[in-house]
Amino acid sequence: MSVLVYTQNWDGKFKKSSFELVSYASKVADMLNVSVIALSIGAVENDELKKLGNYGAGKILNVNNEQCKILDNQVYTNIISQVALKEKSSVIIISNNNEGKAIAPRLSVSLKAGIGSGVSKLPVNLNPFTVYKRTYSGNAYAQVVINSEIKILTLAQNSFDLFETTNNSVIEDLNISVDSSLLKTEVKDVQKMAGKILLTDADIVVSGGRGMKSPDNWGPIVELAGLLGAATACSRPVSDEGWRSHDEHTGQTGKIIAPNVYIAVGISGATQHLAGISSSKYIVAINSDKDAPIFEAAQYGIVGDAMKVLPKLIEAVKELKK
Amino acid sequence: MTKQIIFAIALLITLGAFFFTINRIIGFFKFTRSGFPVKNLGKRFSLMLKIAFGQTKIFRKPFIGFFHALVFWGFCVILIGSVEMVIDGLSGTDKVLTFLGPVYKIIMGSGDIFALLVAVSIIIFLCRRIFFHIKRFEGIEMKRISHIDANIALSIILLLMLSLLGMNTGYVEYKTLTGEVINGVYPVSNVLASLFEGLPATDLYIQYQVCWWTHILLIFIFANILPYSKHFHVFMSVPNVFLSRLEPLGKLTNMDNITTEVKLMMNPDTAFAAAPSDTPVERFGVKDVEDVTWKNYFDSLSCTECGRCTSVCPANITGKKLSPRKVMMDLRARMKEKGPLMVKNGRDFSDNKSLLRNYISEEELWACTTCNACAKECPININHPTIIIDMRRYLVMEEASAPGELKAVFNNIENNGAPWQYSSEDRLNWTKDLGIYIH
Amino acid sequence: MKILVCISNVPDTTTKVKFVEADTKFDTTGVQWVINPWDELSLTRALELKDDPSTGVKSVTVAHVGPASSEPTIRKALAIGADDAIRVNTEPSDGYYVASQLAEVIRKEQFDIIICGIESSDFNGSVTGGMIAEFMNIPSVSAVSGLKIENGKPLLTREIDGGRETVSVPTPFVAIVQKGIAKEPRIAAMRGIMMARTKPVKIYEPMEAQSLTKFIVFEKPRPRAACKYIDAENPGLLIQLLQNEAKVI
Repeated sequence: MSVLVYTQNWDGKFKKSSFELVSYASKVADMLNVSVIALSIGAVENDELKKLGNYGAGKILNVNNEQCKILDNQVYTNIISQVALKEKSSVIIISNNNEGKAIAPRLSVSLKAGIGSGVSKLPVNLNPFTVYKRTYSGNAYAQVVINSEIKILTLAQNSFDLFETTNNSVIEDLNISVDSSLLKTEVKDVQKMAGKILLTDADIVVSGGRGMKSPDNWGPIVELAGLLGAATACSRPVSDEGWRSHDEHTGQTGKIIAPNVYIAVGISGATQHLAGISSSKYIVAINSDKDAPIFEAAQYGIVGDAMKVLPKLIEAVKELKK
Repeated sequence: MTKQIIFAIALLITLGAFFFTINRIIGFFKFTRSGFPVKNLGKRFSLMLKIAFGQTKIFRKPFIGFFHALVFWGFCVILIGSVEMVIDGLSGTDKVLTFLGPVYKIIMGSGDIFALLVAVSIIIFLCRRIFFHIKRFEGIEMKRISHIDANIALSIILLLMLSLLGMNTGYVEYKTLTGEVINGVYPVSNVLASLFEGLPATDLYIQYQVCWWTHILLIFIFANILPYSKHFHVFMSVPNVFLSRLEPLGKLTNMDNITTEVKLMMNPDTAFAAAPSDTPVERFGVKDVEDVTWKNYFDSLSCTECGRCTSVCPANITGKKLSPRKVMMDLRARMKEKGPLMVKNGRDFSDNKSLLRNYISEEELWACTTCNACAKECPININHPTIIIDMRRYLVMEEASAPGELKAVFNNIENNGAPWQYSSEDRLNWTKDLGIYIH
Repeated sequence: MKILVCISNVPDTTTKVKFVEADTKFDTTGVQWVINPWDELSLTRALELKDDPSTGVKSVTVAHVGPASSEPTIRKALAIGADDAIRVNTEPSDGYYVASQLAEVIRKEQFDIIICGIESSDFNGSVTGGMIAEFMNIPSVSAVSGLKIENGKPLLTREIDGGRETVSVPTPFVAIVQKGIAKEPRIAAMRGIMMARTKPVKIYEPMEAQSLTKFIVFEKPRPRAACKYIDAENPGLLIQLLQNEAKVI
């Protein structure tokens, strides 16, 4: 019996979210009194794999087949499925990111395992196995019972802290054979955006809305983000108008993010935008309209003209860094 | 006798050509849809007296409007003289309406004075067009041909007035020299006649005849050019005012088949029942010329491209692409293009083009604020907003095509009962601190 | 090519979320039901592909698992432009159950491309699309922000961290789509609404299937602490608070 945690790698490296997953898996395993097995797919060096052990992984499985080079959902599902059965995993932990959402459902059918998707806490009950998750786009939370033998949990990003332990991990290279006919995805083209801090990874986000009045006014936002090491984001009208790229749009039909702090400048706080940021730990609102709905969701607020407030904030951050 | 025969032939050719053109246009009218019924004749008559004959809307631009009024009234009076010329030409008489006595003197006298006034006005108009840059006459829809059309028409009118004065002057001087009775009074020509003192009677007679023929033949030619020119408004303006839409500006016309549909949908029993034969086959709104009403087409033929509508359009003034004048000109041009094709190949013929998009863009249509400034300003009561709204109706009701912001409004009205993204439960929040008790 | 768009019936975004029966059930009184926003975008894209004659898409069908009370939402989808609809007559108890039903229908009806929205705005499960694909043993591509058909072959754009990939998979496949798949959702034209009355809705009775999860109780999120306002003349105070109090910078 074990808890299996699948950790995605990016060009052979893990991110903070990977370690959050292992920490979570480790705590769940403690609850069930079983071991934690981490599974990595793709080319990852042992030095990097070893890091998973810092957060509680006892055994680290490394699968690196020919068919793993690109993400083919059927191939990855097949691999994880085989490993789960082999290791007799009763709980499988996957991230609720793009890749996780692609694989988890298929895995659920393959193993006839119920899914608790987007969980943000440890299971509230073991018998029946009950998880806690966000529903109604953040307007409510629910307790969900999973009544299958194997359970899959996808963990919401930035919802669980890291817990370091002593590293007693063992790395095992695993040879999993996958029927080559299963690989059907063909990658024609890849476009990477170099350099920028990924919105979904960022701990701090500085975001601008239509209240900024013009794309020419974005300078202070970008500067503040740069000083804070933050990613930049925007509301829907801004990306629709073409002032900022669509990748920056956060909201119900855009990116749903959960940074530590989300600074909303010139954003009114329409329901759909809030749906994208409601899981942020802290929301800061800067808006000239004191009645803007965003202030109801924010923990800190400044009622004022963004173009006057931002330069002062920038100065304050610069002072801080000295 | 010869003169009568030649005249009769000229008249026949003119009438023949004219009726051919009118027939063609009537054929195009047959493709349009029915519009509002023409009722309330009394009201229409007084509207015509005030706006058409009284030129009240023309006077909204008081200075230049005054000169246009002079030209219009001059035309009305001189028209009577032209009718007399036709009778004279056919029956070989000379100034046959003299029997009207003092009335005749008034008609001829004012005609003579108007000839001078109109000539001066036309010279003012021509100079204005040629030497001054008038913003109202420019625009994306005003191609070179429009300017040439205007200048030619003005020039012909000037020639008409000059030939009339020449005719009257020749007549007066000739009759004075031969000692015969002068039928009618010609105050201006009397003065001008002094320029021709010293010429022999025969020369003056020739001047009279040449100017007479020039004048009437120019009228014949002009009458046949008019239907193809922006000056068709000479014929169309007065009827267009008579046939005005009498509803208040800003009141939209409901669509009957939609009213029926809405009633069906609001009745829970019929809302989702399949009723195949219910769906009206004819198009919602306007996409191409066969969808417009006869009045829309009449408007487009009456439009004289004066541009007063566009000059007051708030969208146009603030740089949007919409020009109400362009909408009218485009309709006329499109019918000119598609009309003959439909006559030849049937009403359902498609040349893979349409008024919508090929002539009038969606951007223009959505820029309209339906303020009706254009309809209010038009001196002959053209109603531009009705066709703009009908084209928007086509876009939304047939193609579900509307700017994103409007789609959001439609969705909100459908889901929340209001144009905004608020829960219908919050509708009464604004009353909370007002001490209003809602039952 | 035949496209199937799976749609789910959700409460409109502005609905005030409330629960009844000791917080075990969602309160449906006065709720306005709409097509799940991601499914609306899916349907829009499917119709755009059908409108383009070069793609070879011949029909767009919508499928829904739900009781008769969902019919208005299905009619709305037909009014927007879908050619026909399929409804599996049963309550959608959980993702696994719904996916089983849909997979069964798809097996019977044969579609080339199946499009599912990445999640529904009520349960935010993000499971149905992937499950359908696994039940049917066909490929799936997720986080799809673009779908086009070139020379008869579908090309998908999928979002990856820090960029996007263009991929192709053989038909039939499931595309699990998110924002970007269509610029804005289509609305129903009057013509469409009138024609929707005559379009066929095929009703299937559900097959025997299981659900693996069950929602047992709901709770409203704890109200956040009221907003602490900082004077606009002294924004530096905000930075101090973020560092010392919230400890986030």
